[in-house]
Amino acid sequence: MKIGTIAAKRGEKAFGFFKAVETHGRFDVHIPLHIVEGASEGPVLLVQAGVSGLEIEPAMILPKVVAELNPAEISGTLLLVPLLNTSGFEFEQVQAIWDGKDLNTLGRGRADGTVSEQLIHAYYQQVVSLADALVDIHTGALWGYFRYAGVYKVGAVSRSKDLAVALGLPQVLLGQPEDQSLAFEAAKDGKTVVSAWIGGGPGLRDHREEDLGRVRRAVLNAMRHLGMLKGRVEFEDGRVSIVNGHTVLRVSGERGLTFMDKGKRGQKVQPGEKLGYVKHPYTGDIVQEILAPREGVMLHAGAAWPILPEGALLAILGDLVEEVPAP
Amino acid sequence: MRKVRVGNLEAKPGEHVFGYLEVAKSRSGLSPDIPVHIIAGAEPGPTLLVQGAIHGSEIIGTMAILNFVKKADPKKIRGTVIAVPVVNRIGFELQERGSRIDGKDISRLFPGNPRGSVSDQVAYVYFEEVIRQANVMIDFHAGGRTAYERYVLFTAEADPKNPTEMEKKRRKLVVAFGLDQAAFFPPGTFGENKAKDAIEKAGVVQFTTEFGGGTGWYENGEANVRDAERGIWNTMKAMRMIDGEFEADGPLCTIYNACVVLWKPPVDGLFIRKKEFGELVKEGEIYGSLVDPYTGEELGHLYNTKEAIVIPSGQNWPTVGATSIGILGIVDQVVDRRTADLYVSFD
Repeated sequence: MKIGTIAAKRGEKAFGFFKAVETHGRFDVHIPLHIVEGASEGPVLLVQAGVSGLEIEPAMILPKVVAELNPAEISGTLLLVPLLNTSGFEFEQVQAIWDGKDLNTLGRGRADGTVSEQLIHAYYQQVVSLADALVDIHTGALWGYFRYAGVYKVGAVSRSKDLAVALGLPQVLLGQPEDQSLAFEAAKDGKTVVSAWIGGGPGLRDHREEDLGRVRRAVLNAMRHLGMLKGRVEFEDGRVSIVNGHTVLRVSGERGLTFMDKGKRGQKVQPGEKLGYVKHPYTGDIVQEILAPREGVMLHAGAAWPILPEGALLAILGDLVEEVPAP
Repeated sequence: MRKVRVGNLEAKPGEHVFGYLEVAKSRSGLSPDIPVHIIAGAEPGPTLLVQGAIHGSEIIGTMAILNFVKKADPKKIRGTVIAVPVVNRIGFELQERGSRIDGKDISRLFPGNPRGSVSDQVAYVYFEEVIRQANVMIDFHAGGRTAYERYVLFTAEADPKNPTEMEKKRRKLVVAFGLDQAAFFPPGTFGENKAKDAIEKAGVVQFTTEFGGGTGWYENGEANVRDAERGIWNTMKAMRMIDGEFEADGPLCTIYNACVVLWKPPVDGLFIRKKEFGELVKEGEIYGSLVDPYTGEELGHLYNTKEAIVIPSGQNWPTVGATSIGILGIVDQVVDRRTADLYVSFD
């Protein structure tokens, strides 16, 4: 396997920077990429994290996962990007610094676009296109906290759902909202695609090690499920709940200090049930109640810190359709 | 009993008034006027100032103050509480420590300057109209979105063997607040602090709480807000503004001399802390490490410089700036609240 200047023969690992473009100030715009080329043939799995420059915790474990893998025991190829948005990471922001673009909203990019659009275009053409399956790892950045795997309802839905279950997180969301991400483009292209939402800043102090463990288990489980690695997949709990999503609540109406009831995650809620509230930041008055518009199971997803960026996810509701027991 | 006046705001005895203290205007006409609650007790007594978010992203105290003002009944209070949920509104809006309007940290600007930049003017009006009225000032800080903390911080006594009356009161109030841990930095640890000096010269007994933060919010947020509010009520009890028993983490308050401040080593990467709160760390032991975010290679370590105990303070988020990322201390005093006199008088 050779991608840009990064090359690994069968039974080898390689690491390097996949360079897409240079800025006007001649900074390299590049993506760190590991290639683990298995000793025998098999599928190509792409694991990527850090499309947002504030979703950086997976980078604390993903290089270690690569380090523990023995290519001689692997069938197929693992491509792993521990932190895609290097400039956002450098300057501690969601968007790339070069042009202010959110790399998760550029589709498959443009060859003649802005620096970020060119970056995503090159990445999609030369990396994503090689993959049979994509695990796109996200976190709650500095304000959200998550534990679920999401699947789009386009492309290879059944295969994607099976892979999502195999990651071993407690919940799977069917019907992840369509967006402008490269993951959605890959799903439309018929690839097996799962978005793994794990952790986030508000849980970092108390759940760092278990969340990093979830990331590690998700990657190894994906490889086992795809036949790249021997062994059975391991679930976090005794079962994985599959939820058909029907409601996505985002910041709307009054702004202030937003408090969501974390105790309702994983629970069934009724129409009109209070899921949270917004408080005036100076008087303490409740200026808005956040209510469930319809019955549903609340995903382990959404806002946790009281001050949220515009458009931030508050909660996801759906119908429980299946519970898959641990293998 | 006279009315309580704070700049353009006024409350009669027995009233709770909320409004915005007019402070300054920027070139675009933006007014970072400060939200102020005046809770004017029906009976005379001292004045307590509680303020939050002078560092705009540190909002645990803000939430505690909001809960407090909803419960405080001016008819049952002796003296006055001036409660300011957010001092730095620009920083609060943008979730930043300082004020982007001029890049300044308001907490370092007191007594302020009426002819300075916007933040200088904010500091001046706030100092003259609010701080000067207070007998006691609780300044709520926290770990912003990237850290987690839980202790009361105060200024070291200039001469520990002969503390001044103000210093004696301050140590009592620090203990009365109710946390199980408090700390002071040896003089000069962070250089000169003219703002704190100005507040003390104005006769205000001041202490700071470093309370909670974003990375512990999911599990501990509600408890921290509750205990921060408890600290306000405890302080009022110690000042005899209300009656009641003190409530605390436990009977003991351990006060640390925070003699070790650890700064990031001269390599950058992802910070991984390896020591927990309350842990005794030997000199030369690794407190945390910096790793390469792409390869996982360890780039450098943060070594402890003196045997000491980790004070509940520090960074959890993996990127660190030019700030202290670990504080350790040795025990200076353990106060037993069951036997200690925690009351202070401002006659």
